[in-house]
Amino acid sequence: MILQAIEAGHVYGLSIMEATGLPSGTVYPALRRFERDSLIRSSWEQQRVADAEQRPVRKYYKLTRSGNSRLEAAQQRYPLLAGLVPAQKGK
Amino acid sequence: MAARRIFRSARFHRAILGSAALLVPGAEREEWFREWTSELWYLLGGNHRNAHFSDLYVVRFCLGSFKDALWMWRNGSNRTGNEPIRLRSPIRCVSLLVAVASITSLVALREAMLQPPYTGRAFLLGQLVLIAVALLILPSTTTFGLGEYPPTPHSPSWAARPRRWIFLLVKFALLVPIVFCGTLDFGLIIASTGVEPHAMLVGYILAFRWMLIDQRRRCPVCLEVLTGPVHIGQSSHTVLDWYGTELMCRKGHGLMHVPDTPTCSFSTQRWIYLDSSWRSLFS
Repeated sequence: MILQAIEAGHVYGLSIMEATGLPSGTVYPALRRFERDSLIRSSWEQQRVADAEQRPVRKYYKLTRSGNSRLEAAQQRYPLLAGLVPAQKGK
Repeated sequence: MAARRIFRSARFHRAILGSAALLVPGAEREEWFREWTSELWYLLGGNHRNAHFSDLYVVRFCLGSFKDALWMWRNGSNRTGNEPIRLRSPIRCVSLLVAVASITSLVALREAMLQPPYTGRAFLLGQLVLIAVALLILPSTTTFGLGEYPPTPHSPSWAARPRRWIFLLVKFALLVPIVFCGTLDFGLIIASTGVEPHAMLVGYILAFRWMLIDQRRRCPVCLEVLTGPVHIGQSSHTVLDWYGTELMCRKGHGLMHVPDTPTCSFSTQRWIYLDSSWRSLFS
């Protein structure tokens, strides 16, 4: 579900929590685990972008090739998975 | 009303995150804290309170950081690489325990604390009961199991096998006086009596827990701490194969497979003895 949420455009922790309905204590450890297993990659947004909007920088998550193939395998196995997570606006 | 004000206070939320951050390994703490505080800022709606999220939701969000911090504590990148060199070798480990036991005992003796009521048969019986209670509580903090060491033609000889049990017993024998005298010294420092039984119980549980964890991460042949953790497999392979962490003995005695999720086929950590042909790779 979390990989599906990232694929749907929910690229930071809070957004993933809202999209999946999972609590923070589940989402963040799962993100760490996925990153350790090279299914996702994290990166901090540029400081000047956040500064311009007077807000703290955010950490974004992105699927890797391995994560994409894992998600595709999960989608084939669970066809309803995509419907569980709404796509992010603008995605 | 006061409680509600505290629940809404950003300082309170940051204090929760700050407490959880103490569990995160030092090298990763700053980035970890930065991510959580950043997300908290958005959750609170920046400078304007975000009515979309209730106070309880925000507090739950912050409390979830403990689970994440615990994960980092267990799996952080420097988790297995920061083993103090002095504890790697069994001789150094025992030497350190002997030194600590000597210091705590000397301090306790010097302060004449090993006199009634801290002596006598009744007190000794009380200590045995405390140790028994600690051993009863221990399984709730860590398993008693030390792993599987299936015998192979490359296993150590029968004469060498009891070494790891002797090492375990020596640690146990040294930890008991450390906790006992250390607690008495602690009572002296805080100038308070009556805390000893509780502190001793907690001390015994923590000490025995460390003893078992330390024993599990050692090579059964040379008793050196295992090194070079490598993550193997994925959670989706659980049905077909194990996944978890592989550690190795630096001297090439074997490999330890520690499953991330225990299964019926791989319920505990398992040791694989390597034959002497592998030694050249490790030397």
